[in-house]
Amino acid sequence: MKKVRLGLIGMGMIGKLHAETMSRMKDIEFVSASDANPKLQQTAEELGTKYYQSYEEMIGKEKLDGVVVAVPNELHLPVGAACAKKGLNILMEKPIAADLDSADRLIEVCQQNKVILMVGHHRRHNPLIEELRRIVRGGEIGKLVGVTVLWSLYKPKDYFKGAFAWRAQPGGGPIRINLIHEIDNIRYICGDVTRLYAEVSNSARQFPVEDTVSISLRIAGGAVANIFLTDTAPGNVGYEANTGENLFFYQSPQNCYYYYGTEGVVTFPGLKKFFYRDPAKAGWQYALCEEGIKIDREDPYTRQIRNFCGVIQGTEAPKIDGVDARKTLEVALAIQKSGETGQAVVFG
Amino acid sequence: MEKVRIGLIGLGLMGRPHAVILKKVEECDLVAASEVDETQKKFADEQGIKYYKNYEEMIEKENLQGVILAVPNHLHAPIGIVCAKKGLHLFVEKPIAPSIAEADRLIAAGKENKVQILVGHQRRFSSLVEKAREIVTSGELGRLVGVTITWALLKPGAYYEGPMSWRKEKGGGPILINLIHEIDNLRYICGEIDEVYAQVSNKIRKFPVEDTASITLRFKNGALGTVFLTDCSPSLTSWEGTTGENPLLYSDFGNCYSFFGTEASLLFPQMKRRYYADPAKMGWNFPITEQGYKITREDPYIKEFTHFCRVIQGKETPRISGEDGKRTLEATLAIQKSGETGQPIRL
Repeated sequence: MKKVRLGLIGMGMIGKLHAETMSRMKDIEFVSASDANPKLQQTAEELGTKYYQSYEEMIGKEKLDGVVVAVPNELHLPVGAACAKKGLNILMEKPIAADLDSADRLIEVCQQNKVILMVGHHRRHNPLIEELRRIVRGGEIGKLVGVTVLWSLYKPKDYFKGAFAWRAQPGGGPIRINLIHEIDNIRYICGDVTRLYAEVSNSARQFPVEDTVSISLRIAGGAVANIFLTDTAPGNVGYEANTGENLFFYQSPQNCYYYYGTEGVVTFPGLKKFFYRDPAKAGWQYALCEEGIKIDREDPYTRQIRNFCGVIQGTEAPKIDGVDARKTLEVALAIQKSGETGQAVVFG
Repeated sequence: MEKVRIGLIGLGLMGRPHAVILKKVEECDLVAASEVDETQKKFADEQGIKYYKNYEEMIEKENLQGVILAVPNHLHAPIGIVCAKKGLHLFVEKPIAPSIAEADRLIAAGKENKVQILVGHQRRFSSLVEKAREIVTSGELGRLVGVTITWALLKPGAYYEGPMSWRKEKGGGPILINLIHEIDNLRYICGEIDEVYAQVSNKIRKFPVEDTASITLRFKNGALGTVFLTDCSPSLTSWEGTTGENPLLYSDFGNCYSFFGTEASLLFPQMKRRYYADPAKMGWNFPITEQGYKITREDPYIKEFTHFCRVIQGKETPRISGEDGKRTLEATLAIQKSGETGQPIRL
């Protein structure tokens, strides 16, 4: 089969990661990359791809099957729309767009131009998450009762400084940047959120943006979930700190998710199942069994690009399309709103 | 030293173990016990405790200084008030009463008759809780930003059957029976609760009473919290499943609480404090240091009853007064109510 020809728009933190990933992949053609900052020409050349300063020039000149778009959130819609009009399939970084209205317009323009819109919630491509989903959806822990999610990583002071001062402003905080991943994981593993309430606080850092969030969710099917998130406490518990997916983060061996079912419990990322061996001896006075699960790990960013190529070739369905990603954004924004209004939010 | 003369009212599931422990408390003279169910006379005889069927007769005839109430919740106030009028200091099992109005009546009777009330939230006497409180209140974690609690375990089917089938009804479930302990711990360690919200469910067991709850909290000091509670999942992530403080239940060495502060976090009951050793290298990309604490564990029940004796002697003030026990009840009832109304509740 002909190799899929991909381009990259945006070579910032996450864009660079995509560039490195694509340059390693033998079964695709990483044709070119663009970034408004000319300093990144060298990076592009080192990775063996052609550099453009203007993405419009790139999509005008190069013959591409699809583009990976990793630009600031406000540019997702304009850049995405320009690519769609050129007939290019899109892997858009998360969140799908800066707000729901932009998300709707992006989904629409992709439909009109008959191009694929896939969104970069890369964790869905992590074999650990896929296994967790298989266990939960496959009924291995019985009926799902509840979920707990912990995320307490300490963002260093320079995270908020200089060019990144926007991160201390509303919209630049952990709800849209970090929590949205947790929401997408819960939706992917358990199903849609039907109701939520959130307490949101900025009292530790005293920045305009939130630093700590405590959430109660209800999920279709009746299970409930708690999420606690803070970026201002040295907890080192959370997906980044525990899964080993990105070794930029210091790793602590700990579980950050617990999925509680009527027949068993599964922890993540430890992927240990807890259950009573003898149904006649099930209850708090009896010893509980623990069982490990063997997983073959694989880089989720590579698998994400592979899925994108499969979708372009018509052999696979996207793990997450625009409509799905819009729902994840909707929940994240509702958490922000609940924190502001002090009211629960119910989804129709 | 003169021992404190104590009477025990009720020899049920709580009362019998209390009797055994009270006999081990040096400062306590367990004079007599009463129980309406006469089959328990045998237990009293075996333990060498004078038995009464009628508690009023006991408090009339025996020269007691204090009584321990181990009777059903709805009898706490009626019996407690009778005892208070006799000038007897009161140890009341948790919850202080089934309702705020009854708690108020009992507290008022205590005041009028100048007797002390100690509410039986025995976890406040756990060496683990005492240490956690010391770590949090002394500022070792910096400013507290949040706390998470999981109480997830499987109550066996028999727990809800036969004579215990009242537990299926409203009020007999994990919010009023189990969660109240978590709430009291939280108040003791982290401070007063300002606002609660809860999603409460009975979808698993399908009894009138709840089986699962997901809760958010806001504390007066600005910290946030989450509590996940279920009694129908085979889990060890609970106080009972991790602390080993209930000898009847199976426990392992996990954690059920996490406390998060601006300078450090604390895993409980492993009692591991995580912090960045070098202030210039604070952040998610730097190694984090984990520090343990040496803890001498003592039996919380013996400490609790010793404390009660000392309160009667005027040497100590109640660690959980009637007012304090009432505030724990208030927060717990608010969680129940929030689950019913779907609205957050300010305390």
